[in-house]
Amino acid sequence: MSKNQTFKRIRNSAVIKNPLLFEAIGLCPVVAIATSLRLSIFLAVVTAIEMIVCEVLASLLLKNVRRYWRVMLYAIFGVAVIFPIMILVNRFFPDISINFGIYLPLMAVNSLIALHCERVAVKNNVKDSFIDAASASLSYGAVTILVGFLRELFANGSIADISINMPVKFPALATPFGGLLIIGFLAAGLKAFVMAKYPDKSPDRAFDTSEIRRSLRGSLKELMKDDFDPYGEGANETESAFIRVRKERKLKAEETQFNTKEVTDISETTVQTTTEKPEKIKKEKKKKEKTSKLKKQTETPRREPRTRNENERTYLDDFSDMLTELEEYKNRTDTETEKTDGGDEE
Amino acid sequence: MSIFLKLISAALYVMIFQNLIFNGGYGISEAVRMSAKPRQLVPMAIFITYFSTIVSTVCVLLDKVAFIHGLNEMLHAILFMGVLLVVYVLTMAVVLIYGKVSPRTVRRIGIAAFNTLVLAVPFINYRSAFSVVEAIGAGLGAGIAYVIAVLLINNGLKRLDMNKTIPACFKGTPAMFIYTAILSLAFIGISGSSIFI
Repeated sequence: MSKNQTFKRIRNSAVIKNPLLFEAIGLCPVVAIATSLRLSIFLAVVTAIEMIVCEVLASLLLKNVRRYWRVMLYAIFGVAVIFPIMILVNRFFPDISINFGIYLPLMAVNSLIALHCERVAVKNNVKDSFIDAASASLSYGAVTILVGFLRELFANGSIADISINMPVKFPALATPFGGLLIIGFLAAGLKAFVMAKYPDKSPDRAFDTSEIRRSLRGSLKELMKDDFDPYGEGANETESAFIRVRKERKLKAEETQFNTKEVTDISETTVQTTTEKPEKIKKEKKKKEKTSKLKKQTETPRREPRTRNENERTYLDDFSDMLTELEEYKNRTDTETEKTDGGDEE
Repeated sequence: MSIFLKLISAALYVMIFQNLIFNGGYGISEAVRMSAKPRQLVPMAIFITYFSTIVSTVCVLLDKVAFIHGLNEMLHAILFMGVLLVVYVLTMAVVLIYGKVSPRTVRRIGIAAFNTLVLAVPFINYRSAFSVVEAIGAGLGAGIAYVIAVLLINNGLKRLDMNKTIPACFKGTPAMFIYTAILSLAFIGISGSSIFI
């Protein structure tokens, strides 16, 4: 992989497909625990270690394992990483262990890790998996630390346990409400940045609004029949509405580009004044319409398939028509000969 | 009657008074993502309820054994994870032997089994010292809490999608996060926690 490609991958993972802000994955620990800078740094580090180890192991060992066993093995890898960390934290940082509570063992089944293992690690080599894990955990960690910093600042009036004389405190921000609210505003900020810097990229991958509009309609049977792909893993197999809309937009843009190119070509070739240009374009359009009409006329209409009886009937009809035409022809010729004979006799 | 009341009170505790998703953040990623694709809600909710109920009940039953009861919380965590793995393997074995299940269903089972919501229920049972009946109620309540969360977020998403006055940078995921935050605030209010000085 070239340097440019690696940079693009890191950029995509960190900004355009930010796992936390745009894909809404791995929310649970951030919303619940990232209430201070210290805790959020610890959370980011643990997630990064777990993610890198799990992705590398998945890339090395799970390529030929069936999907339903892979899901279980990701959890086992998660447990294998988290429990040594738990022992170390219990021994060296007991206050952090108390703060984390049950969320530390729950990180073994973090959806972020399962998703990235399934999307990237199983389909790529170890190096690519490592780069993906590093970039995703970097972006996840950055957002986590920012959320922790803001929550500590506004809820407790301190930075890294050093109190600051904040005139007003908002203890509600230390609850999941505060976590979600800050994540929402950060997501809006990042989206504004993406819209300004990369206008052709749409960051809302997780929220295909067309599907929301169609939701809760149809029978239970239809609901059960639908393909299940909440993380967009099988996006290549079944096109989501989002991708379809994007493709349509691309096609439309290409068409408009093509049309404008045509117009510019015509304008370049003509030496006439600018007032005559639109007339030429109109003429060309008319020509095109004419040719298309001619084509339609020349094209033989497609016949519908007939049955045997129908075919026989049509042949008989044709034959009888021919006979009547022959008789008419004979009569005409007879009358003409009679006329000529009579004329000669006279 | 007291058994029924215990079951209902545990279910209500997990569903409303300490809603696992909005108050605890357990399984919030799955709920948020499912709210955008709610056509899968019925099977997913069934599987989550199945796993949370079975795992929570088995864990409480195992905790009755004196040796296991004496273990610390870290070893309990390993035990809960082990129970979840065993239940998943057994379920998959039944599904694969039965043979008539589509790959879609198999995929659903995997995602429903390994998430923070299902694994959080035995921890809550352990910390709250729930009995077997209460553990069953908590398991069922977790599944219903998930359904409530998905339907509430989905309804909001529909309204947000129809709203034309939202600024472009807030449309989609950011608006959803803020809406979910307000829902979370409502559930914190129901739980009776004080959030202002």
